[in-house]
Amino acid sequence: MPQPSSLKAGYNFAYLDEQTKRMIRRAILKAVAIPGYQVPFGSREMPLPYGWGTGGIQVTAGIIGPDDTLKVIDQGADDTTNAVSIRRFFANTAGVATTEQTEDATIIQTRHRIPETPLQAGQILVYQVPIPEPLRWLEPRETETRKMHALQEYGIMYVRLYEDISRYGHISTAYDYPVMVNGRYLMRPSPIPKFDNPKMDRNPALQLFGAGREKRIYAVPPYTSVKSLDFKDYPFQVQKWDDCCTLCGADDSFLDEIITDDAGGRMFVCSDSDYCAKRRDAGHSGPNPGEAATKKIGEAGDAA
Amino acid sequence: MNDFSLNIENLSKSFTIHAQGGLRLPVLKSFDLDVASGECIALVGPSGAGKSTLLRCIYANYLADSGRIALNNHGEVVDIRTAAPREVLKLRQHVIGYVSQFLRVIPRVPTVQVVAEPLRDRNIPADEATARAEKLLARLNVPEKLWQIPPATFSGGEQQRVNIARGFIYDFPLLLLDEPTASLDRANGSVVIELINEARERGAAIIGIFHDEDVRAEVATRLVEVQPLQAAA
Amino acid sequence: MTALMDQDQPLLRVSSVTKYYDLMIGCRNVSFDLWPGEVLGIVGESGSGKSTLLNCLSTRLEPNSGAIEYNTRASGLVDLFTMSEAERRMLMRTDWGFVHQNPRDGLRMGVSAGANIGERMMAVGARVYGDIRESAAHWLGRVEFDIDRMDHLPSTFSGGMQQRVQIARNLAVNPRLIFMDEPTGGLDVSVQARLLDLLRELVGDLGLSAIVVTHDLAVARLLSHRLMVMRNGEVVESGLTDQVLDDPQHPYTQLLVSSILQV
Repeated sequence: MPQPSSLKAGYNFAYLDEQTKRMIRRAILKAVAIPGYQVPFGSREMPLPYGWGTGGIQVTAGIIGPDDTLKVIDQGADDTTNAVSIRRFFANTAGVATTEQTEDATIIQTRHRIPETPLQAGQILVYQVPIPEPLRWLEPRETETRKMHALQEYGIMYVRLYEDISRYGHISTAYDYPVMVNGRYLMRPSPIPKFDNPKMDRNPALQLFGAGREKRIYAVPPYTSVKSLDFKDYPFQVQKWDDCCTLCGADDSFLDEIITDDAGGRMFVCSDSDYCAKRRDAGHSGPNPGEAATKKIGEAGDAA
Repeated sequence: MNDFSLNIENLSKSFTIHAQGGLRLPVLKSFDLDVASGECIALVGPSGAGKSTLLRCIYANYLADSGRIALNNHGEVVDIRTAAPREVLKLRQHVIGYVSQFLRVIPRVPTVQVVAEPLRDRNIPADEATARAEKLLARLNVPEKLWQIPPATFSGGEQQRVNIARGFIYDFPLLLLDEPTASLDRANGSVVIELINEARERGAAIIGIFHDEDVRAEVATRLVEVQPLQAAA
Repeated sequence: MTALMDQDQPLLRVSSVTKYYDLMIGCRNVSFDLWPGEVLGIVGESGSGKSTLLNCLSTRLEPNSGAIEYNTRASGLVDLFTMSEAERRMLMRTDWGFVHQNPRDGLRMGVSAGANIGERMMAVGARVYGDIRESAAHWLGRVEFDIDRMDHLPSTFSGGMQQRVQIARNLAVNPRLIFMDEPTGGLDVSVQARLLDLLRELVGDLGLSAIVVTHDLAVARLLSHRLMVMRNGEVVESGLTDQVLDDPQHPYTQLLVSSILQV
């Protein structure tokens, strides 16, 4: 493979060796062929710890080419430690272009969010997955959960929703909300808020999921049906806020709550930093754009 | 109910005690008996002659060694000795009523339910079954305050009356009565005599053991002797 | 006990079932028919093979030889071990129940009593919360469980209460056959008596067939219509429950019956 000039010396393209990337690609092909099915793969040691996105990084390394443009988000933001270091990792080891613009990216690696800007055909969304098995919380045996998938024994998953309703009066599960893919496999969408679940359904982009520690890859091909589990009398619903984004005024995006002082002061801002910035560039503004901007940057700085 | 009969042919029953080197105790040998509906047969003979054993063989509680216990119910003939368990259970539900000497109590089931059970087994609604059970218990002078109490703690006479009520609540074509009046006073004994005669008049075939000669005289249409056998090793 | 259903075919037909563990015999050459509405007791001491047999019958173990046929609603008698695993597990979810001696083996201890019962319904496609909850409450009521506690975890219940929840969980999908392994084994005598009476009543009212494994002859007498006595993996005697217990023929059965402690 021709090596781009910006590549750091000593690394193979995209860090992993070619055999490993082929192995990952084979797993991805199988995953795409069986939407929602968890394909085992030989997850490698990566130069950052498990839980920092090693599954997503390996999937990205397997599919990225020199012409790709990479965007990495963590909780919707491009500027958090995890996002910055993964973006830098691929800039160094693959020499690819990076971006914070959702529509410019060919590959978007994400932790815990789907961008607000609708994805397009040809884009690939790579999710970092901590625990891929949706049945794990009730069934500890892997042999048994595999059998349950094979035989589509998914009744047990509704037990969790039942418990939510009997305890809280509604389905309180707010993230990592189980979905049925293509009417066949039950899937964990990774810890995205259930607000994002509807975006997975019939999405034009290819969605790939990598779990490094658990050594599993799974996929939702473009335009595949993804349905959130629910009861007929307790239908699936997404979160709603009374407020809009303090910075850009958006009332259709997923909002993070930020505590501003010790006196109970708080504000809500878009979790998708790219979406928020674009709205502000286009002239939208929220109730208090100035103050909030400094707070938001301060937050991010502290986290780093 | 005239097309009912019981024909016992050549019946033998012995007990083999394996713990005592296979000691064999013969009780009945080549016993014959025919009973038709409307008859009340009193088995007579000394204690240990095998009267109770005979009743238990007819109820299939004991397994007879050889011979035939042919029960003809509306043309359907079953040999109780060789019948499959489910056939016997069916017969016990529909054909054979058995009043044993002792009540085998089911823990914690109220008396009235114990009595009503044969009706409940036949899918008769609970309230009707209970009403009939209460009526029969009242007739047998079982105090009303006992009806909702399980019979485990009752006196011998009270338990026996519960047992009798259970046997007479349904119109079984065949009734096996093992000393039904043994621990009853004269007043209650005469209620039982009435019940037996009513059952016979409606066409039941009855085989009973009645030690009290007065009772025997009032209910029996025929006496059949059961003779003790010599024990043989 | 309620009227036995008058049907022409047995619900379960067991032919010459043999199961070895390496060279040890689990059970050997066991055959019987179980008819609709019938309760069969299997008695014998520890190691007699009764649990092995129960596990074979409930398809938890595959026998080395012999056949176990079940009368399916769709296509009549079918050999359980020629079915696909999917069909077999479906059968276990819809037609069968299994009551374990230890409720921990038959319950999900981490979810509420109501959810334990609801799970069985959801596993066969119930998707209306209100219906599931109503039905769970109904079955908990049937086993005389305090409905106010249906949202509590089983770990907060007594052993007898846990066993009731386990029984309700098994009844919730209206099964036709229930396997019970020492259903009152670990319970106090007073709790045991109440539970036995309840089981007896439920089995009768619902017209269930059941196979009850127990080493307690009193439990067998109370619950079962028929009895099989096992020893060293083989059935040494079988017949009507009261006949086997009151007029035992086999030396081993005589020994068992004569060993019962009288109170």
